[in-house]
Order: sequence, then C-alpha cells, then structure tokens
Amino acid sequence: MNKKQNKDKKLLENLDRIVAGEKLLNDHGLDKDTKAALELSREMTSWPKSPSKEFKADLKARVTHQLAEEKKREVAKNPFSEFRDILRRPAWQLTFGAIGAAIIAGIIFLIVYLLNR
Amino acid sequence: MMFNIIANTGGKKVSDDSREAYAVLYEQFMPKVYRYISFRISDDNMAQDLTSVVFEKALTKFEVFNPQKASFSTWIFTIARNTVIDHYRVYRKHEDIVTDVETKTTAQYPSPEDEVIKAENTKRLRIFLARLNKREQEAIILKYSNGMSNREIGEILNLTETNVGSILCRTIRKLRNSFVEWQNE
Repeated sequence: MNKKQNKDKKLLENLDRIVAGEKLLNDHGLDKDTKAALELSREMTSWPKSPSKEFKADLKARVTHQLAEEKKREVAKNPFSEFRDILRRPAWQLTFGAIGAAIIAGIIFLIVYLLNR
Repeated sequence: MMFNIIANTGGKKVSDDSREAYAVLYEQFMPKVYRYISFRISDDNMAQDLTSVVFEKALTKFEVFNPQKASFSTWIFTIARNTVIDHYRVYRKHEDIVTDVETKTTAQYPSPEDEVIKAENTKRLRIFLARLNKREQEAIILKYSNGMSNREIGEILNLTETNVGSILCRTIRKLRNSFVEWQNE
C-alpha cells in the first residue's frame, strides 16, 4: 500500500467514525492534511437538521390516513381479504391448527368409543 | 418476517402485514430522508414538502417494491433523489444545492461573533459543495446527512464501494482546499 492509499484509508476509516459519532482512530498518527479534512467533515456532519415535531406529527397522520384509505379500498374490492390476512398471521394459524387437531382427536375418540361399545 | 410476506405477494397486493411493514419503515426512514433533502435544499418548508412527496410516492409504489432486488434504504433514497431532481427541473433551476437562503445557526456557540463566523463558514461550504459535480455532491450528501456506508452509497449511485471511497477522499480534500483558499483570501 503506497503513502496516498494509506492516507485515504485512514481518512475513510475516521470519516466513518465521525459520522457514527465515535472518537477518531489513532488521532496522533494522522498527518496535517487528513486532520484538516476530518475537521471539515466534523463541521459538515452538524448541518443536517431533524424534522420539527409538528411536521412529524402531521406527516404521520397523513401516512396513517393513506394506509387506512388503502385498506378500505381493498376491503371494498375484496370483502374476504381481511379474513385472509387474519389467516396469514402465525398466532391465528396456530389457533386454527389447534382447534382442527382437537376436532380430529374428538372424532377419532368418538369413533373408537362407538366401536368399543 | 414482514419482508418475506411482502416479497411473497409478488408485488400484486398490499396486505395488512406490508402495511404494518410500511408504517415501521416510515418511522425509521422519515428523519433520514428529511436530513438528506434538507442537505440539498436549505429551505425548511420546501424540504418538508418534498419529504411528504417522497413518502406519498413510496406508499403508492410500495406494492412493487421487491426487497430481493434492493434494500428499502436504497429504494427510498432513490425516490428521494429523483424527487429532488424533479423539483429542480420543475422550477427550472440548476440542479445544485441552494446557497442563497440565509443559514440558520443553533444557539450553541459562546458568542454572537462565533455564531456569525459559523454561519459564514457554513454558507461558504455550501457554495463549494454546489460547485462539485453531481456525483461528488451525492456521495458527500449521502455520507454526511445519514452516515451511510460506502456500499450503500454505491448501491444508490450505481458505483462500486471502492469507487465511492475514492470519490469521497478526493471530494473532501477538494472542499478542504477551496475552504482554506477562501480563508486565506
């Protein structure tokens, strides 16, 4: 690895640490140029802002509304889709499976009981 | 788990599970998409409007999203990127970072002078960023706005991980040199 490649590697490693909010790696072993580039990087990572609470709440309400509208449209198109979705859920599959197994066991028990009578 | 269900629908139908998945992904990615857009557009209101547009588009297209082809991150940031490009196209502006908006600073600096210096530095850096070519701008913005890995940036920009690394190193040094030259003027 030549000198430039080594410098680039150190720059990229430390850049990833800066954007992750971690401490620099081997801070003292860095050359002046790389340190300056990382200082600039640190400055730029402070730019992005977080969305305001009002905006977050408003957009979330809109997305939730859109999702509900979409579900309504789907149910109107296919009234059984909701039931099919329920059947897809593992908890319900397990419940229906257990009920089915209990019914089969009951029938077998009844047959055996009637035959032995 | 949820992704398997979405993938199994074969892009034909949005099930309850995929709606739940979308809601979860929305919570996770909305702030990230907003940060990306606000890095490219410094007008807060416009950044918020475009973030809304991205998630409306994403919801409309969610039934054709295939996690086996690309991650949700790649998919949503591609939509965000195209939305910003469309925005500049509609407003007939050059596709670069807006630099003419007053830079806001947070009150974390010890004195008003420090705040002024910080604001001026940020404004100048934004100007230098706007002078970079599109690919360099995108790589820098994706890295600094959301701390993406070079591989993730490569997936969005259709570049290799190594290529992204080289672009980032070159561009950071270029920005640094422009900044130092300006300070020495």
